[in-house]
Amino acid sequence: MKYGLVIKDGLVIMTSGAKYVDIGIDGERISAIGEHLNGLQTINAGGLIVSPGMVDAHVHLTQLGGGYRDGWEGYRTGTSAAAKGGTTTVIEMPMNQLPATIDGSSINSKYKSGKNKLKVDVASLGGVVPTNLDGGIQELNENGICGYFLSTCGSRMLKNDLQLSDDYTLFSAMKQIQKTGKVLAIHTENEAITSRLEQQAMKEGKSKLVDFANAHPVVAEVDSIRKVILLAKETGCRISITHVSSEEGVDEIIKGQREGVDVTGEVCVHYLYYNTDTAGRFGSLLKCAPPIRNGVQQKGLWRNLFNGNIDFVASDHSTCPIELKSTGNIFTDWSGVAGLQNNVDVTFDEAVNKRGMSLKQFAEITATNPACRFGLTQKGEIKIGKDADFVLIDPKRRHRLSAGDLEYRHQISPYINCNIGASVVLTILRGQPVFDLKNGVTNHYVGKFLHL
Amino acid sequence: MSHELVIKNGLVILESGEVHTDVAIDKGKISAIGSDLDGDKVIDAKGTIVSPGMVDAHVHITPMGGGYRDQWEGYVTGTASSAKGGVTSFMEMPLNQVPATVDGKTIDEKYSRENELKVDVGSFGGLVPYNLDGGIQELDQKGVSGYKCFLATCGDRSIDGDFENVDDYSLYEGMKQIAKTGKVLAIHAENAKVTDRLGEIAKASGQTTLAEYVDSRPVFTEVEAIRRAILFAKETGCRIHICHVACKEGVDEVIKGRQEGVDVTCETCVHYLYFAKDELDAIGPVVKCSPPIREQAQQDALWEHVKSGAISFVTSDHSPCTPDLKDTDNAFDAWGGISGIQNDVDVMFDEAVQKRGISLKDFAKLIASNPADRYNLDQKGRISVGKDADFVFIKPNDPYTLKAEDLEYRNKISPYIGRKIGAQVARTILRGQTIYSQEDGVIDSFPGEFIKN
Repeated sequence: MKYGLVIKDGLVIMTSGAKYVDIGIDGERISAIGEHLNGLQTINAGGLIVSPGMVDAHVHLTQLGGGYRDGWEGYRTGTSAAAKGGTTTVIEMPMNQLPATIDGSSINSKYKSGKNKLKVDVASLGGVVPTNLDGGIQELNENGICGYFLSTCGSRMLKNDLQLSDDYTLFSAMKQIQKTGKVLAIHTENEAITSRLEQQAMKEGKSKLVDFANAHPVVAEVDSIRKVILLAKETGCRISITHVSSEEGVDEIIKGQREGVDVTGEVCVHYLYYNTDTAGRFGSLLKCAPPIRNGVQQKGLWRNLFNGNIDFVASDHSTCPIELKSTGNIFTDWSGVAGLQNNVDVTFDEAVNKRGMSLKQFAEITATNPACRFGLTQKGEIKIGKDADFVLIDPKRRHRLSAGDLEYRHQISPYINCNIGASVVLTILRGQPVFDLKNGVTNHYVGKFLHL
Repeated sequence: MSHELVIKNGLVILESGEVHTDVAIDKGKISAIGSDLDGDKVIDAKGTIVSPGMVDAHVHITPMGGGYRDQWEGYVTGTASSAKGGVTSFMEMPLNQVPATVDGKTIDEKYSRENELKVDVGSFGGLVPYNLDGGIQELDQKGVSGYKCFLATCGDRSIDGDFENVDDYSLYEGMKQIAKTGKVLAIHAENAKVTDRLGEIAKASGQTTLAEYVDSRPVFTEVEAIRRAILFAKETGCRIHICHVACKEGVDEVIKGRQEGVDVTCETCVHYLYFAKDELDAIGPVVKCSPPIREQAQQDALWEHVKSGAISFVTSDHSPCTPDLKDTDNAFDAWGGISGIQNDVDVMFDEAVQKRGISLKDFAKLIASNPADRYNLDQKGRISVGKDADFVFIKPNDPYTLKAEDLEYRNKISPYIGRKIGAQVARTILRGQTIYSQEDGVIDSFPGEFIKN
């Protein structure tokens, strides 16, 4: 028999490990894995690594700007960048859009606004705010989100933005979310401490990236992580700590797991790639909260990623118009790093090429684990019956990223001019190529919203 | 040689344990411990246990009411009830007074009332969001023995100068400043936002009972705040003490903190060891406090932690108010605070020693040596040569039933009224001077002093 499509001769990363094997695809799904498969169409993956398409569990897109953020990254550019970078599924954050995604009406506006604008699949997190505790959480659940998100920290000047959650909101929301069985992702930092330290630093005229980092001390992150873990223990809510940036933070996650709390941690590629010494010259391009920390912390994060204490990597892609990154003051510049397009190549080069991570673990931290954590059962693994989502990586093809390579609406990235020792050569979404090196990103909007 | 005063025939609790011995006193200090000591004056302690006078490390007195709280407990009545109860020194909290004790000027106002003291008084300085620019240092220079802050909501914002709970930044910054003084920061640890909101919701839904009030302040709200305080202490190097822990899980966090090298201790109060949630509504708002008195199982667990030494000492958290503030059918509206200082020693002796077999040596540590050590009251807390001659004589196995008129408090309210207490305070001695005896009552004069560190 012949399969619709066969990917031949690649080194395929399956859950049991990497193996030279063919993959048969019929329609949108993987229908066979084996040797000497025949297809109506064939892709020659000789010399390439075939990994499950990345599932980036932390992406901010801003299709709905609400009149304030209309020029920000939308679905077209965001999902193009995802396709080009080998990310076949993004989990979209409920914030930066205006209004924030906090109830049935706001998530449906998003679904509507993204129709025919997606080049990869998009799952959604619903937002938690002090004002959606009386029905919003349940509406989001009924409208197919794959998890929730709330933030304990950060400035929110606009009324419709995702407002911060106080401790009561956290507690009450966790009780409600526990009933849905879904995971609550949390940005954990102690706002009272970081906002006051920021104010003081500003008053003292400080303006460097390291000054911003000093205003977000490890203790502020750890305190918040400890708090949410305690509340998760109390309520039974499943939680994920977004962008853990300190080893002490990971330690608290490990302690929580030992106490039986269903808690995991994510790290972002930029915390693994940069530290305060190497990041300083980028200024606000690498401003993010929690901040990029010192080299000791960077090493600690790598160690914890390797030994499985950190569950997965994400981009926390959060981009904005360039002028918002150049207000003249690090403290008023927009906080967020553009990274979606370089998830796979950078992580592969840094983890596998430079640090010897196994291919099996590479697939776990980029695809299997985030898919599993957020219940995306069709995603994240190369296995019969799963969606035929792949990224084909040339492990030795070095390239130097230039601004012109970026599919983002705004061509900013901390990886520009970096020599990246691996390249994405082909991305396949549900059996269809959405990016290849020769033809670039597809013109078709073949992505869809994933409803759980 | 003959001493000014000798206490004879008592069973004296020394650091090594209790022994029948004489204790000699000269110039207010213990000058000798041994057999057959001669004294110009002799007090016969036969049939009683001679314990170091209690050091109650958690007492609210309101000498200055600021026009708002003028009828609350002042020094005269507060220290009279201490004397009657066997408390020879206490640590005074920096709140309920108006203005709160947050800087040099406000503590000097308190110090100016030394002629109202019948026992010795050490002071806590406050840590509030508004005294981070010099107040902490002024208090240190003025001789406070420790600091106090609230993580739970505290203070009346309509009263200028009232105490205020800290936000997390003020806690963190305050700890950094206090670490430099080497003194201990005592913390009321409950999560403000969660307890406030749960209380509002309970009240709005028509709940009125004390049992419902207890449920509005669940264990995790206490545990969360304790963990936060311990983390900040670890970060800043500040020495801390968790006040009135009311649950086992809270003590467990303190134990963990110590294992991680944090200088953290905790206390519980007599009422958490005596009452349980089941009986609160039968007693009424007089027994309302925060954190709340919890279930019997928690009381049992607290006793285990007292016995193991994980809880360093017991206090009264004596926090009286005027009766009108307790006169309500809605537990959520009543003032939170229990009057207890006069029954620290007799109730604790009965419950700990007589009913639960805690040794006299451990009893003396719990009520005197450990709190004195924690706040560096180096003349207090133990019967040892060179220390202040502060004693409480306890008549064991001599029950009485507490009546309102027994109380020296300005406002005669107490949850122990009507309770049969199985031991009695027979005499209290402060620096060699009897300030209370069953025969003569409480002394009329004011021999107490402020203790300054």
